[in-house]
Amino acid sequence: MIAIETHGLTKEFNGLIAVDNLNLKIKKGELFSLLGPNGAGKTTTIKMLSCLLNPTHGKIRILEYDAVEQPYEVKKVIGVSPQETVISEFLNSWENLELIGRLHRMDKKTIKERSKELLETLGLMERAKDPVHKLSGGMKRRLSLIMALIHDPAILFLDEPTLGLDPQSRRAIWEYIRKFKGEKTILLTTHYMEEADQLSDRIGIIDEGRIVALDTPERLKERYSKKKVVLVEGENIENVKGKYTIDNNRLVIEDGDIKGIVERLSKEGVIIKSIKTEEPTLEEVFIEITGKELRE
Amino acid sequence: MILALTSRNIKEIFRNRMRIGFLLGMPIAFMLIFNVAFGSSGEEIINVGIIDLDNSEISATYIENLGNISGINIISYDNEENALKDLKDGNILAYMTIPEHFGENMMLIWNNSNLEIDLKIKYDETLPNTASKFISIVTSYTLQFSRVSIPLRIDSEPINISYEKNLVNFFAPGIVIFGLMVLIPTAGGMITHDKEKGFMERILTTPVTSTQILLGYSLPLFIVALIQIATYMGVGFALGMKIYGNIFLLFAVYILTALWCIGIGMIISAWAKREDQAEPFSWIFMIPVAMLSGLWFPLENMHPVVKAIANLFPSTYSVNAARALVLKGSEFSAISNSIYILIVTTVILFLVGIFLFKKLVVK
Ligand SMILES: Nc1ncnc2c1ncn2[C@@H]1O[C@H](COP(=O)(O)OP(=O)(O)OP(=O)(O)O)[C@@H](O)[C@H]1O
Ligand SMILES: [Mg+2]
Repeated sequence: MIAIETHGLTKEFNGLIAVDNLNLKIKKGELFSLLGPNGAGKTTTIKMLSCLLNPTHGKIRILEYDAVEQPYEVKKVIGVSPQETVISEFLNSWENLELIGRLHRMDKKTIKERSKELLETLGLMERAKDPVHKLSGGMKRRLSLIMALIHDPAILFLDEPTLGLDPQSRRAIWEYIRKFKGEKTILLTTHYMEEADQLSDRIGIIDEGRIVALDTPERLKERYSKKKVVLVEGENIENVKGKYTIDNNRLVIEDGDIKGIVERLSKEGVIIKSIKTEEPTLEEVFIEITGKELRE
Repeated sequence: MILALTSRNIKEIFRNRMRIGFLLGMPIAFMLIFNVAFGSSGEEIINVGIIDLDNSEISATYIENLGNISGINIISYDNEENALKDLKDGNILAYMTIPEHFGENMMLIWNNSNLEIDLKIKYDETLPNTASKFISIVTSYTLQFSRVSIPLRIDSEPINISYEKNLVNFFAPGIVIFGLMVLIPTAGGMITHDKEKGFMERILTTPVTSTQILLGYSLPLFIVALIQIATYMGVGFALGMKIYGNIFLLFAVYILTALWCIGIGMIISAWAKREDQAEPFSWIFMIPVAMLSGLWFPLENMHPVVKAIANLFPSTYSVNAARALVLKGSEFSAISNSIYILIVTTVILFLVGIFLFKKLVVK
C-alpha cells in the first residue's frame, strides 16, 4: 500500500525552481528520509505534501486523497512538525497540546491522556504548567514536535525534528520515532547523517530540488562510498609493494579483508603495531553525490 | 474549532501585559489626564472680560453680582478691541458684551413683558470646556437675575450652548472610540505575528476552514472589545459622565466601532508579512484618522477639505453618533445615517477580510 505518492511534483518561486519534478512513492508504515543541503527543497516538499503550498505542477496523493483537491481530508490524517519551533508563547505546554488536539476534533479526555503520555516521554512534564516562553530552546523544540503527534496521525511529516537538541533529547526522540516504525508512515528531513542512517527505511538524497539518489541506507553506502578502508601502522610499511598509499605514516588499503591483509603484510616484513578498519559513512555518500558538505 | 482558537487567542491577549495595557490602560489614562488637565472643576478662577454698552445702574448691579460668583474674576473693558486683544493674549478666556438698553429691557421684564435678552460671548476656542463652564454660569445667573424665565439669548462664538456641556461628556466618546481603535493594531499585530512565526501555518495543517480561523481571531477580539467598552464606561461614570441619549444605542455604536476596527486590523494583517510592518502601519493610519475625525477636538471649525476627508473614515461616524447620544441625547432618527454607514462599512470590511483570508490559506 502506498501512503504518499507524488508525480512530477514541481514548485517554482518566481522563476526559481525549488522542487523539480519529484516522483516519490512512500509505502504505508515506511520511514523515509529526505537528506539534502540548505535550500535543496526539503521544506518546500513537506509544505506541498501538507497542503500549505500549492504545487506549480504535479500531483500528490496522500492515502486515497488528492492533496490539492481534498486538503481537508488530508489534514485529518497528517501531523506536521515544522522546521521552525512553532508554539503559542503565552500558553503552557498542556494548553498548546490541547489547542491542536481540539482543532483535530479530539475530545478533552483523550487530549489529556495523550498529552500526559507525550509530555512524560519527552521529559517536559516538570515544566508543563509554565508558559512556554519561559522554557529553554530545546524544551520548546520538543513541545513543537509533540504538537504534531497529539492526534496520533497515520502520516507524519517531520521537518528536521531534532534540530538544536542535545544528544540526550535527540536520542529520546529517536527512541520514540522507532516505536512507530511499521505503524505510521513518516517522512522526515534531517541534516544529521546518523539520524537518517539509524532511523530510515529508505533515504532520498535531494539537491537543487531533485532526488539524486534513493535507496536504503545500506545500499547507498555500498553503492556510492569507497570500500571499507583498512589503516595499518607499523615498521617497514614504506617497503610494501602494490596499490597502497601512505598517509600520516599509515598504510591505507582500500580493501575490507583484514585477515588477508595481515597475512600479506607479514610476508613482506611489516611489523604491525595497530590495525583498524573504517566503515563507509553516509556522509561520504552524500559528498560523493552532491559534492557538498552538510551543515551540522 | 472556533472556540478552541478563541480560547487560545483570549489567553494570548490577556497574558500579554503589553497588549492588555494598551487596550485598557491607555484610554483610561487618557480620560484621567484629560480630566485633570482641563477639569479642575470649581477651584480655578476664570478671568472674563465685560464690555458694558448700557452703562445703566441695572447693568452695573448685574456685573457686580456676577463678579461675586466664586470662580469668576471680572475685568471691565471700554471697547471690544481691548477685550479681543486680551483674549488673544490669553489674559482672559472669554468676554461678554452687555447690549444697550439692557437695563431698560430688564425693567420691562420685571414688569412682565416678553422681551429677549441678548448677550454676546466670545471665547477662546481652544478651551471650550472652561468657556462652557462660564457660559452655563452666565445662563443660570442671568435667569436668576431676571427672576422670571425669560427668553435669554446668549450669542456665544464659536460653539452654541444649546445643550448642557460637561467635560467628561465631551471627551469620553472620543476616547472610547480611540480605545476601540487600538483593536486595529492589536488585531493586525496578533494575526501577523502568528503568520510570521509560522503559527498560522501550524493551524492550517489542521482541518480548519479560513472562515473558522477568521472567526477564531475576531471573536476573542470582540470579547476584549466588550470588556473595553464596559471598563471605559465605568471609568467615565466614575468621572461624572452623564448620558443623555439611549444607552443601548450608544452600546450599539461602540460595538459597531469595535467590529469595523477588527475588520481593518484583519485586512492589514492579511496584507502585512511581518509584525513590524503591521503594528507601525496601524498606528500611522490610526493617529491622523483619530485627529481628523474629531476624536480629540471638535471638527466644526476645520477646513471643508479636511471635513470632506474626515467623512471618508468610519471613525467620524462613530464619534458623531456617540457624541450626539451622550451630549445631546439624540434620538435614533438623528443618527440613523451614521449607524447605517457604520453597518455597511463593517459588512464590507468583513467580506474583504474573509476574501483575503481565503487567499492566505493556500499559496
Ligand atoms: N516562499 C518562498 N519564496 C521564494 N523562494 C522560496 C520560498 N520558500 C523557499 N524558497 C526557495 O526555495 C528553495 C528551497 O527552499 P527549502 O526551504 O525548501 O529548502 P530546504 O531544503 O528546506 O533547506 P534547509 O535545509 O535550509 O531547511 C530555496 O532556494 C529557497 O530560497
Ligand atoms: Mg528546510
